[in-house]
Amino acid sequence: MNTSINSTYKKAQSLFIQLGLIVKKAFLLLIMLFTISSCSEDFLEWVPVNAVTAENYYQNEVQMQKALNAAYSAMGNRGMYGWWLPVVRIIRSDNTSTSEAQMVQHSIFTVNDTDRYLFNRNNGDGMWNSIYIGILRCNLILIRTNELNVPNPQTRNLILGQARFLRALYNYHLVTYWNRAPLMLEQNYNAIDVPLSDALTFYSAIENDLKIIIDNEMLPWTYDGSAGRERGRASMGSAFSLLGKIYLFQGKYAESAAAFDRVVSSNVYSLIPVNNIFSLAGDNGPESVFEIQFSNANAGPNPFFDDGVNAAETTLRNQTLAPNQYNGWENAWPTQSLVDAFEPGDLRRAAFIVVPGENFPTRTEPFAGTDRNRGPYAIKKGMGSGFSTGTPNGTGEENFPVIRYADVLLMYAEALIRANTDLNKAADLIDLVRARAFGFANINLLRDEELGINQYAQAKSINLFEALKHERRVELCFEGHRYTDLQRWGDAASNPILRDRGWTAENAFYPISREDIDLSSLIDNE
Amino acid sequence: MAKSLKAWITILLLVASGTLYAQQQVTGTISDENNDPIPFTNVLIKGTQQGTTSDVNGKYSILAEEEQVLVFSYIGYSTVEVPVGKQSIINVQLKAEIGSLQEVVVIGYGEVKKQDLTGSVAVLDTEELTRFPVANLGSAMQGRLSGVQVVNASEPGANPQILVRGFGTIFGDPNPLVVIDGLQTGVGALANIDPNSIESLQVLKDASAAAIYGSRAANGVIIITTKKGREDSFEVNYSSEIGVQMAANRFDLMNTEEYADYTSKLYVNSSTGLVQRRPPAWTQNPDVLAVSTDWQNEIFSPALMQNHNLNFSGGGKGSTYYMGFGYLNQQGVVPQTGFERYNFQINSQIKRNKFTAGQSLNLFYRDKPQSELTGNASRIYEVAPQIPVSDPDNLNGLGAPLPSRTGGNNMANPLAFQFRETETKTYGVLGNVYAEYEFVKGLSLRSDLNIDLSSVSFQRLRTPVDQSQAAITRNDTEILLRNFTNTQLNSETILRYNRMISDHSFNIMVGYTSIHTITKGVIASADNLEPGTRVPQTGLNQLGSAEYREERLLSQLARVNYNYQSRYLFTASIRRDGSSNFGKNHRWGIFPSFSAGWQLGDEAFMAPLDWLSTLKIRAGYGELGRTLGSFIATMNSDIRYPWPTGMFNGTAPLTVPNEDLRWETVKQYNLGIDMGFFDEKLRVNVDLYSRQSEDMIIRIPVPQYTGIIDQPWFNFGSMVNKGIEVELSYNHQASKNFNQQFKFNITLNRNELLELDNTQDTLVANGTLTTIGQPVAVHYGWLTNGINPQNGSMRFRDLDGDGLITGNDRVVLGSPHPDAFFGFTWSANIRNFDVSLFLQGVLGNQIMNESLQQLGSTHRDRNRLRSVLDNAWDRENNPEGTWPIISLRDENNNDRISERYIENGDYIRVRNAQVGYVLPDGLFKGAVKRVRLYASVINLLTITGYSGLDPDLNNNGDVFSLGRDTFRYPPMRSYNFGVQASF
Repeated sequence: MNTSINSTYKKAQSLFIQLGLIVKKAFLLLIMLFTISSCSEDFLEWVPVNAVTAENYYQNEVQMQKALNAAYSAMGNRGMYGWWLPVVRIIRSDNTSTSEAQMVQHSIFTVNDTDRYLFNRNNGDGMWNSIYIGILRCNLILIRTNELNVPNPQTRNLILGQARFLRALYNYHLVTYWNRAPLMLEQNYNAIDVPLSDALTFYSAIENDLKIIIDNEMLPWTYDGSAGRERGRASMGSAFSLLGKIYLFQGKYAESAAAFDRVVSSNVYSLIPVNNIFSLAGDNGPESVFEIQFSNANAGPNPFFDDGVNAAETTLRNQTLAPNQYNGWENAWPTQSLVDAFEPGDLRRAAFIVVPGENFPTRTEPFAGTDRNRGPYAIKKGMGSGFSTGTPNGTGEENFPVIRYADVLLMYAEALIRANTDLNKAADLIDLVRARAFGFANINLLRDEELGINQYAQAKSINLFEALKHERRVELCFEGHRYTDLQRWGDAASNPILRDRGWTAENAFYPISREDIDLSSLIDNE
Repeated sequence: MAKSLKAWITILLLVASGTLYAQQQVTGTISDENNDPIPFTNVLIKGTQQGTTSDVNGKYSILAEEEQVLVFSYIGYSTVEVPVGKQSIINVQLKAEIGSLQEVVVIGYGEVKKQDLTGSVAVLDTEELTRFPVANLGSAMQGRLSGVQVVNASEPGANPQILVRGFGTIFGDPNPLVVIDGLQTGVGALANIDPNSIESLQVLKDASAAAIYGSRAANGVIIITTKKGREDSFEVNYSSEIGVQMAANRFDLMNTEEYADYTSKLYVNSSTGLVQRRPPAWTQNPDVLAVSTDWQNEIFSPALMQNHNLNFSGGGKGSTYYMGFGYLNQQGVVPQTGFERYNFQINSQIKRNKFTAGQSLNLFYRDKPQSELTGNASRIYEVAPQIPVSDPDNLNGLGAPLPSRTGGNNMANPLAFQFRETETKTYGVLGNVYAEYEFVKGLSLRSDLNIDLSSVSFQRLRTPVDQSQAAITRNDTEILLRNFTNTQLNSETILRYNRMISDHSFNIMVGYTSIHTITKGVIASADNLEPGTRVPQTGLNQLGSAEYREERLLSQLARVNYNYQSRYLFTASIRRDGSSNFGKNHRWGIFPSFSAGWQLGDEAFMAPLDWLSTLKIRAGYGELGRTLGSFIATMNSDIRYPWPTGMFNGTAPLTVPNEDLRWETVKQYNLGIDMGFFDEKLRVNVDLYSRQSEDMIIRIPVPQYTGIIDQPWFNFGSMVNKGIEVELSYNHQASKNFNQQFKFNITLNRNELLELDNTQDTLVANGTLTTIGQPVAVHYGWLTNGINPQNGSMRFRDLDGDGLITGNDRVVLGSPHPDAFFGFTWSANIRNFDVSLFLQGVLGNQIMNESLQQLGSTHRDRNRLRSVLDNAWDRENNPEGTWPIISLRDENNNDRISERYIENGDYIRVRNAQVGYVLPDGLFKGAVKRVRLYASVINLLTITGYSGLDPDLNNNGDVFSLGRDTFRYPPMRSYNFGVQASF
């Protein structure tokens, strides 16, 4: 019995020793292995370095400033002033002609189902898409800016004021180009189903934004060029001018005149020489009320991109409008009707339009006209910084004047004429623009030469309003205002050129994107 | 009283027997072939329930009688029976079961005898892999495995698309996980392996089999092991194949005369009241009309293919090795395309007592040149036929046609694309290093370190396609280099315990794994090269950028296999995964599975059925997960705005962040039956499955007015794939000199969307509709209603009756998902000859023929299908025409997606037909063991009603381009000759 216990004990002992050895070896091995596996859930507890997320953004002033830069940047997108807007808006007007293919491609006065695809994502002109990208950027700034991330109240107002102005400007484009569209504000910024709002709702939203800026004096009249206060940012002048313009569209002429009066009486703005209009020399100059910035300094290889290192913050407008002769794409050219509208002695004709035998900016050989049955003219305005073909395409870099002082003067005059309050003041405002156009130092010298607007109206047997229309047409040609002007005046239907192209009340505005109709349960085919 | 008496008699008898037959103590040691003791071996007295097990030193002790027989059994070893006789010491050596090893199926973190399998696993016959050499392992699976749908990519080096049991996800990669010697990687790695070095390939199809891979296994798992040597042997194998490939199909396009006719109509018919248009001048120019180039003839040229493999394998005592060298060079029928690959595989293992260590390493180099012609193949088909192959009026004879030769078709001479070079070179290692220690027989700890390392170098050199223009400007030139390294490290630690207690067999595994992936790269480009050089102009348009990505996955896993007498089988597994691709709230997921099997054929009551050799029923359920490819960026900080003082950065949202994003779950049920008849001559396997994806990670398209650039991600909806898989094989040994084998498999699958999300029940994208009750991404478009006799444009049906043709008039036009796919192999050996035929096909899908939509369009000045002239409506000459009028004007959008372009995609293809001959033994003496010569034709014949080039459409995993035939690499047919020798 004893021996059997003994042997069992010995067996157990040897087993334990063996087990001990096994455990020891196992431990060594395990330690080795777990070092390799880094056996801890810390393995996952690490910041995702692959991406910037909204969770970690909008935290401080630097980030809010970057968000604001992005809100400005969408204005320069390829769907906006960086390419298509200045092209497709001018070819809707009687100032320019284009090819049949371009008319179809850009949905000029044809509304059928396929045209709606033009405004689909990645498939169209991108204007609709870019406008709303910009609006979301503005809405997020308006929602996320607070006392914590931007403690200085002045800086905070500056950021919020610019975001409001930009949103108002984006919405201005929506209402004047589409008439009805989804209105995206702070309260519904992330909604997916949004109905169309009518023009009146849009106008009141725009007025609201601009009035908040004005009432709280959120923006300065001028910028000193320091960091965060670069020249070219939206100012009080920008806000008043856009407000006056919005009133003009609504027929609120007295309010419009009052708003423009604030701009004129600010004494911040003045007219620059004709040759500097829409040029590098005029960029952010005294005539600039609000313009979209472009620069060739950092031209990436693919100017067709909106964002990213590949994108160039240049404009493709010049490339697209320049004559075939210089390897431009010549997507539009001036009509005879526009060229005929310039009076003899008007310096703007040669500054804005090139005719055969004259020189084209940045090119040495004279313009030879065109052989493609297109009329002999080409656009010269805003082409001064040149362009290039091939890669990189389009290196144009003059800022695009969305609102300039001459436009403000003429809109002010229009408000006065339509309100029928002070026609003399209206004539004075118009003559300021004309004096510059004919090379006179002041309006009295202009009138002495019988070139004043009233003298023009008399000679043409038209009233002052009709004379103003002429003045806006020649002064602001190729800047994208002509078609909306014709609509505002109710002149589109009677315009012979638009009528020939198939203009009707139904196709006067752009159609809503097919994609958005499909994706929204609140928007139907109109 | 009677009862108790009976009991007493029983006891007495027992006692008596005890006294009649003397029991003796038998002891001994049980060891394996290396004299290592095998603990826990079952020792059973035959015919009784009495038994014991050996201790940790392999020693046992049992009381037995002289005439009894001891049965020694241990899992993985052949059972030994020893009569007791007069012996008191019986030492037994057990031999590993070589024969049964071939029936072992690798199931991930271990292997299991095929007869004990409870999940659904498709095993590729690797003999077929040797017999029908392929460049890419993925293609080797096409038509061979039930439930596994492989769609080929005919371009050399391109990856086939592999779907296990249907499309399981809407957004994200639908391809299965690939595990190569324990290394977890993707289907892309299949192109990096030499198929000759493959030992086994199996596909874990159902969740109960795949759940051990948890969040990576939602699309099934392909498990590959590479060859190992055998102890005490030495073998050399050499195989070589050369072939010539040709374009198997081409479009019937217009010649110059027909194109001139088409172009004239195109312009004349597009005249309006205001503008009269005339035919382009070239259509009247006899010099131009004299030239008619068949560009398909000029571009597609026969291409050579060669494939060689030499390998050595063998081993000494306690060590084995395998060394294989492979070389593949496949040129493409399109110039400048092809694929070249070098493989060097070294596998070795040493075993010393309880310690085993080894490695498998695949070193590879591959070079894949690409042509811009395949990226946009319409360049081959739409170019004008009146351009001479070499245009004497153009610099170098290339470039866009001179205006005198063309109207509006300014497409450049496709041969000019030879001046553009795109190439991807990859060096890499796929490897595994492991060490295993066996504490006692059955209990072992194994640690693996796996590495997937590749260094990719991409270059694109663009010189002007229009050579005449290049002489003057530097337009359109670019040099772009991109170099990056992918490093994936997996480490695995697995503890295994196998134990058999009498008839109960346990197989327990617990493990811990981690995967860490890092991608780092640089990209740089310059354009405006100096003419005729690769030198960028200094200081202009040079660009550089860096990329960095990192991902981590951490897992804990466990599995238990239990069976009773290999008759009642149970498997359960669980895996917990944590992924760095999700936010903190939903980082971890748990994926369980359970399955059971019953070897019904082994039951006694089945014994009378002689003709039935096996019958097994299997059932299982499991849950799998899916994560996203990477963490989702929600902000773009790459925006810029040029203030007058310089370029400033901007940041804005790309998409709406979703912090609650979580795992997509796939729940799968499987029911299977395996049958063998007539001594396994006829085998039938049938599986029924239901695979349901829930909480799918879906990108919801949102209207543009939301301002969102990238579609946001949500967990929404569910989708199901249900199907039946049948595999049949029949071996017919007619005589000593003639045997033949038939194999057939077919899979029927039905995909259906069950739920989309709470705000919408349809998803319209890229001409597809995804809606509840239908398969995902069905073709969606308009119905035509004949030609309008007024103007020759296409009329469409106004289904909602609002008087307008709008998006609301669209209907479902067909489904791109096949109802069934199948494969059939017949092979026969007649004396030294062998013949085989392999057919494969797809049934019941519809293809949106985009090549017809483009080449059959009557509205552009581009070369067109010859049939356009016969079919296009013409007021005078063809008022019965069913295609729209030939005219540049198309306000009606005649070519929109409609039933005109939807065609049945059914096909049966003779994928491979082969004749082989084994040289008679007498021919060689000594070292040469076997030499086989063969000739084969790949892609011999296709029976289909489809009018495009190839119904076998690879869509690169995008569900929304499923069944859409855009221009792809032309299908190739190849004629091959090969030799296989072993020494």
